[in-house]
Amino acid sequence: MSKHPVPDAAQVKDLLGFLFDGIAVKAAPKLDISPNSGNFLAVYVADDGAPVALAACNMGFAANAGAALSMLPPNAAKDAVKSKLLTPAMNDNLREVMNICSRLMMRDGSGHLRLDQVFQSKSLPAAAAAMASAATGRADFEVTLGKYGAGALSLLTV
Amino acid sequence: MIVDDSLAMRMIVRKTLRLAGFDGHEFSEAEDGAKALAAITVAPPDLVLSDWNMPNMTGIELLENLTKAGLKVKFGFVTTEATAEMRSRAASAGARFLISKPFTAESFKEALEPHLK
Repeated sequence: MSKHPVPDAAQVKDLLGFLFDGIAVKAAPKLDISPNSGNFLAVYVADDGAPVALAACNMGFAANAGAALSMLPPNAAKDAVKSKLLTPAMNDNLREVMNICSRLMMRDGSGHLRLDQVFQSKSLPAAAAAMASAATGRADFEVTLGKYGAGALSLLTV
Repeated sequence: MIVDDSLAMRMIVRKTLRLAGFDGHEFSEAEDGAKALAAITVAPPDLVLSDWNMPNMTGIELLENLTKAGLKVKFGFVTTEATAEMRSRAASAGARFLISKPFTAESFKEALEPHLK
């Protein structure tokens, strides 16, 4: 049993709905979080600094959320997906969104966790990679942000 | 005025205020205590809703600086984690309330309603 809970689609929609209009969330197949996937991984640590949770997303979610938070045009997100490169503003916004996602993995009685860093998959530190392998809780979602489109978001906890 | 270094948190607080029925008010924002202090000195808001941990000037430092400057502004904290020590320090410094978990429209309404007419 995971010490930190993973949310269901309704809980993800409720929280991210505070940030994004026209959001839809549904369960999705497992997102590839291997080093060569090119996906983004946010590492959450407990108060003692040990990694206890991860949020993973693909370029689609990263670009859409990164653009939508500052209301950048949807084409900016599409350009980022095409070039596989987030702008500095999108990077900052992705960190903001991942920081908020920490609340999805805390409940009354579960330990406190906080966002440490956001990495691209190939740069994930060994301790966080080991945590990902040992994760006992996992939920994968397709998140559609209105006119920006769909992306993948996964949450893993120990 | 909403004071928080996270844009996403400011958006969440603003939306929660609307859900709690405070949509008749105008909201301003500042991204740290120092910027809030500068803005409040020029135009004091009805109420300041501040995060605790922020770069440049924390929320409690902001409150203490407002008091030192003789600026009497209604002040409350919204923070994800709140220890007994934080609550005690906030109350001693003159904070009207400290909202932690649960972070809902109901908890906002209960905390703010006595201070916003």
